Amino acid sequence: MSISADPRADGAAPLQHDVPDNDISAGGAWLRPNPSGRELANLSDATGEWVFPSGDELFRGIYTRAGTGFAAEVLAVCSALAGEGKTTVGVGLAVTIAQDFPDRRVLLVETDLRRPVLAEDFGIDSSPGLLDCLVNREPLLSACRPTFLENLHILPAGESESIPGRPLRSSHMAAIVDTMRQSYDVVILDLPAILANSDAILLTDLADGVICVVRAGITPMGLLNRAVEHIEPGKMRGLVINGSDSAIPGWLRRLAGI
Amino acid sequence: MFRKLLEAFFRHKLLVLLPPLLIPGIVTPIAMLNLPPVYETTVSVWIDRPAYLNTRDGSNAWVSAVQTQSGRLSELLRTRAFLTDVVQRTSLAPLAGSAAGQTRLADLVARDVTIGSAASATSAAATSDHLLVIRVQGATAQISYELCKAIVDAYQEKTAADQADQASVAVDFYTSRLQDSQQQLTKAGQELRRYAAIVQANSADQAQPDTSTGLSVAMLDPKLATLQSNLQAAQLDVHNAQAALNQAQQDSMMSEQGQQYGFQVLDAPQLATTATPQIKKIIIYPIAALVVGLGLTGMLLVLLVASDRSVRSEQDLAPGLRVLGTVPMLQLKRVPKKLRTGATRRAIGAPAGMALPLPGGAK
Repeated sequence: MSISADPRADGAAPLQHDVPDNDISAGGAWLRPNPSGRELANLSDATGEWVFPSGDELFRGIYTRAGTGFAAEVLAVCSALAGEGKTTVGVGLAVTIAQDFPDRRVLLVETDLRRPVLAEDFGIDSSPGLLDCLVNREPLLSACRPTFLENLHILPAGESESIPGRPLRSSHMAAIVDTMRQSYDVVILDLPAILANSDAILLTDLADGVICVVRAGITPMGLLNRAVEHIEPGKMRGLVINGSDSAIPGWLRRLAGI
Repeated sequence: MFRKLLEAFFRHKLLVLLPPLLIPGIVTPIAMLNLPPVYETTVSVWIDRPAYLNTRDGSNAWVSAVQTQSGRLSELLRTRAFLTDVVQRTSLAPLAGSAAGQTRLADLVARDVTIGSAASATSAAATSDHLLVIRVQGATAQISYELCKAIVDAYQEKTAADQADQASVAVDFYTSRLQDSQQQLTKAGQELRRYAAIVQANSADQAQPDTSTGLSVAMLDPKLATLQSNLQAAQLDVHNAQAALNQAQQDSMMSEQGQQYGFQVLDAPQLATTATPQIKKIIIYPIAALVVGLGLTGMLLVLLVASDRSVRSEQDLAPGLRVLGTVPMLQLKRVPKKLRTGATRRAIGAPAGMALPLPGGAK
C-alpha cells in the first residue's frame, strides 16, 4: 500500500473526483452551492431559509472548548444511539476547522459502515471508501475525496453488498489511522453509535479525544451514562447537545426569565 | 421544575389541552340532554311579628321575622316527623312508609325545596324583612304544587297547634294556681271564724264585750291579727291568680286569632304550566367538567415531566459531564418532510460542497 504523507503530493488522484457545480442532483430537489460561496450567509438568497444562525461560531466554540487547536490529533465523534447527530457535528467541526486554519489539512472519516451518508450528501461515488481500504487494501489517499474547501478531505464509508467480518476491528484499521495522522493535521472520526455497535469503543481507543453527541429530548440519561462509561475518562472531551429547541415561546421566556 | 413544566406544556400542548376541551365538550351536551324537566311552584308568605300582643316570644330584635320563620321552617323540614306530616298530604305519601322512601324524600326536599326571603330569591328586591318565599321544584307540576301547598299547610297547622298547646298549658297552670289560692282563702276564713267563735264564748262568760272596742281587742290579740293577715294574703293570692288566668286566656285567644296575620299567604301556590329552565345546572356542568379537565391536565403535565428521562439541556446532565456546545434545531418549515432528514447536516456542510434542498422542494 503506497500512501503519501501529503495528499496533494501524491499526484492528482484524489482531486480527480469531479464535484459538479450547481448541480440539481437526485430527483432535482437538491441544490449544490457555488464553490466560491463558502459562507453560509451567501446561500440564504438562493435557498431562502438556509441560514444556520452563527453556525461557524458555534462549532468554533466547540472545538476550542474541546482543546482542538494547533496540535495534530485524531478526534472521534460518537453518540450513545444512532441518529443523534454525530455526522452533523463531525461535518460542522471539520468545515469550521478547515475554514479557520487554511494551512492545516483536515480529514473527515466516516466509520459507520452500516449507515453511510457522506457520499450521498456530497453527491459523490461511495466507492472507494474506508471499507475498500480495509477489505481491498485500497490506498487511503485514493479513497479520500476533496471538497470545495481545499484543506478539507472526506473519506466516505464505502459500499459493499456484504461486510465481511468486523473490518473495523482489524489491525489494518489502526494502521490506516496512523497513516491519517501522518497525512493530515486534524482527523475527525465519525463513529457508529457506541451502544449499537461495539466497534465504536475500539475506535475511541485509536483517537486522541472523544466528543459525545446527545440528541436533545431523545437520548435517555441512562443510556448516555452507559455510553460515557465505555469511553476512557482521559479522552472524554465533553458533550455536544444537538437539536436543542425550546418549545416555550420567546415572549414567555423573556417574561419568566428562563 | 417550572421551566420543565412549561416545556412539557408547550411541547405537548395539543395532548395537554385535550382534557379541558374534550371533557366539557362531551359532558355538556350529554348533561343538557339528560337534564329532566323541572316544574317549579312558589308561595309568598307575609311574615310579621305579633306587635299587638304584649308578649315576649324571645325572638332576637336584630333578626327579621322572615329570617326567624325561614330558619324554623328549614329546621322542621329536617325532621322526620314534620317531613312525614308534609308528605302524607301529597301523592308521595307511600314513600313515607319505608326507611328508604324517607331517605329519598329527605334528599328530594333538601335538593328541591328552597326557602328564603324575597331578597335572596329574586334580585328585584334589595332587602326583604317580611316576605318569605318558598320555592319547590319537582319532576312534575303536580308534585311541586302538592309539596309546596303541603309545606305551607303543615307549617301553619304545626305553628297553630304549638301555640294552642302552649296556651292550654298556661291556662291549666293558672287555673290550678287559682284553685289552690281559693282553697287557702277558704281555710284562712274558717280558721278566723273558728277563733272568733272561741274568743266570743270566753268573753260571754266574763262580761258582755264592747263592740266598739272590738278592733282594739283584735289589735291586742296577736293570734287574731295573724289570722286576719292570712285571710287578707289568701284573698290577694286569689285575686292575682284570677288576673293571671284571665290574661293567659286572653293571650291564648288573641294569639290564635292573630296567627293568621303573622303568617299570611299572599301568593298561594299555583300549578306550573311550563318547565323551569335549570340555568344553574346548565352552567355548573361545563364548569365542573372544565375543572376536572384542568385537573387531568395538571396530572398529565406532572406525568410527562416525571416520565421524561431524556437530556434536553445542560441541567439534565449528571454532574461531571461537560457540555462543549449546543447545536440548535434548524427550523425547516419550507423544506418538504422527506428532505428534512439530514438537511441540517447539509446546511452545515454546504461550504464544503454538500447539496442543499431547494426551498419548498422546487424541482
